[in-house]
Formats: sequence, C-alpha cells, structure tokens
Amino acid sequence: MALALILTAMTQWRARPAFARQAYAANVLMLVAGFAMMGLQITGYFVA
Amino acid sequence: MTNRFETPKAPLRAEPRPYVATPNVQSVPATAAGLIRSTLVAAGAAGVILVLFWLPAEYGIDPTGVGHLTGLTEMGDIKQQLAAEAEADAQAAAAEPVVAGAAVLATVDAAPEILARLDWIDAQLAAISAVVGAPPGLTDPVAVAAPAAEPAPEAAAPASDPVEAAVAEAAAPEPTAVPATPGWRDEVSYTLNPGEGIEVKLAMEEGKTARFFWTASGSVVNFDLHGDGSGQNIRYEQGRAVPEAAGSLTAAFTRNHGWFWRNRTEAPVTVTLRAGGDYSELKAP
Repeated sequence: MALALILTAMTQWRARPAFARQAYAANVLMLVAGFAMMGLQITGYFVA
Repeated sequence: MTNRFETPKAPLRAEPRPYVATPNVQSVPATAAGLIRSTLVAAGAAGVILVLFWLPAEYGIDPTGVGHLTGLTEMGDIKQQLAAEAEADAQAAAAEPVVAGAAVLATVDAAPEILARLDWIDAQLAAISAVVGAPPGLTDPVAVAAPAAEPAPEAAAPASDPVEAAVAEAAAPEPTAVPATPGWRDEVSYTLNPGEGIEVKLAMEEGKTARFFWTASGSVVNFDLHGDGSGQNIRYEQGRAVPEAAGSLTAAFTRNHGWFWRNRTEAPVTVTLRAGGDYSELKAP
C-alpha cells in the first residue's frame, strides 16, 4: 500500500516540469542533513 | 579479420549510452563539476548549521556565541548536566550494595558492642517515630550502619565518643518529621547550588488533599509538581523562575505526589516547603 502510494506520487512528481530542479535541490538538502548528522556524531565521539 | 567488439549495437558498459526516455519521465541534468560544487555547498551549509545551532543545543559547545544569544547553549548545558546526573545515579546504584555490605562487615569485625548499641538506637528511633507519628523504617538500618562504620576502626580508643557521634548522626534525619510551624505538619528546607535539583514527595491516598506552601527565599526556582508510582504518572503543574507558590494538592491516585525543584540561577537558592493536610508521610532526601 505505502509503496504504491509512493510510486504514484513519485511518478507524478517526475512528470512535472520543475522536477529536475526540485530533485536536485532535494538531493542537496539530503547532503546537508547527512553532513550535519555526521558532524554531530563525530563531535559526540570526541566529547564523550 | 573481424573484431567482435566493434558491434555498434552493444556499447561497452562504461560508454555513455543514448538515454531512452520513457514518456513523462525526465532525467535530471547534472555535470560532474556541478555535483562537486553542490556537495561542497551542502557540506558548508551543514557545518554552519552544526556550529551555529546544533552543537550549542546538543553539547553546549558554542564557539561563535550565537548559541548563547538564542539560549541554545543553556539547552545543551542542561542536556549534558542531565546526562551526567543520570550516569552518576547509575554508578551510585551499582556501587551502593557493595559499599553498604562492606560497611556492615567492618562494623561486625571491629566492634560488636557498637552493633548492640545500634540495636538500642534502632529501638529508640522506633519509639521516637511512634511518638512523632512517622512510620518506623523511615531510617533505613543500612543508612544507620554506614555512619557508624567510620568511627568503628578507632573504637578501641575512647569508646564513648564514636558511639555518641553515631547516635547524633543517626538521629539527624529525624527533625524533618517534626512540625515546625503551627498549622503545618512538616517543614523542610534545602539549599540548592546552581544547577542542582531536589525532589520532595508526599505519600498520599487517592482523592485526599494536602495543603502546601513553598518559597525560594527571595530567589527563583523551576518546579515540576507531579505524581508517580505503580506505573502511573501525572503532571499537575510546571513553572520556570517562580519565587514561591501556595495551594492545595489533590492526589489523582494513591502513591507519591510532590515537587521537583531545580535551581537554574547562578547563585545558591534555599527552598523551603511547608505541608499540611491529608498525607501519610513526607518523603524527603
């Protein structure tokens, strides 16, 4: 069920003209989050 | 001689293949340089977020001062403090049985007469408790044995002094149960250093009401008036930077209901609680 909903939503998103820009931005956001969490964990390792 | 690799229909894996777009589906154009730049930008943004907001809020690390301005450093400091306290509690819980056992053993080895004296003290305490109205067992026998263990090694010298000390120390917790002000059953007072917290509970039955008044003696404290026990929890009231409060507390269930105070100021604060009404016991550390 969940996968079907996600597939539908993703397909519709990909059909939109702004998809390329949004997808790129979303990827950059994921990178930001990933780097931030990585930094947090590394800091936590050195603090403890 | 034919080269079998020169078949134009099947390109090698690494070669760029013409992208066959399915209808309605687009590819995302990206160049290598653009991707590297985006990655660096993302790493930079992550670093900024981390240093300005996340590290202050999580660890109280605030190299820029922004965390102090936004109050996030305080949050991080509190988190670190709570973590340290939890760890200290865990360690104390782990160490306690061993220490208590050692103390009792030392007492047995060093001075059997002190044990006899302790029995006598226990009896006295029970008698005092009966008069005062507090249930016996308020003073844990182990807690009584612990202070006695220190003077025990020098018990061979003046025998009366350590025993007297033990009596004084054992009797010390008792005054909390003595009504200090007319109209109130109990009055307790604590001085909290900056960052310190304390919990005082009233053992109450469901539906019973107790009156209370507490004051931070001119300063302010954060408080959390709550109840817990038997797997139940309730939060009556919370407050930050409150100078004093008075009112009545109706127990939502039978168990312990009371206050947690924490001093978030820079200076020591004395918290005084007076309680009266329908409760069976004031449980204070």
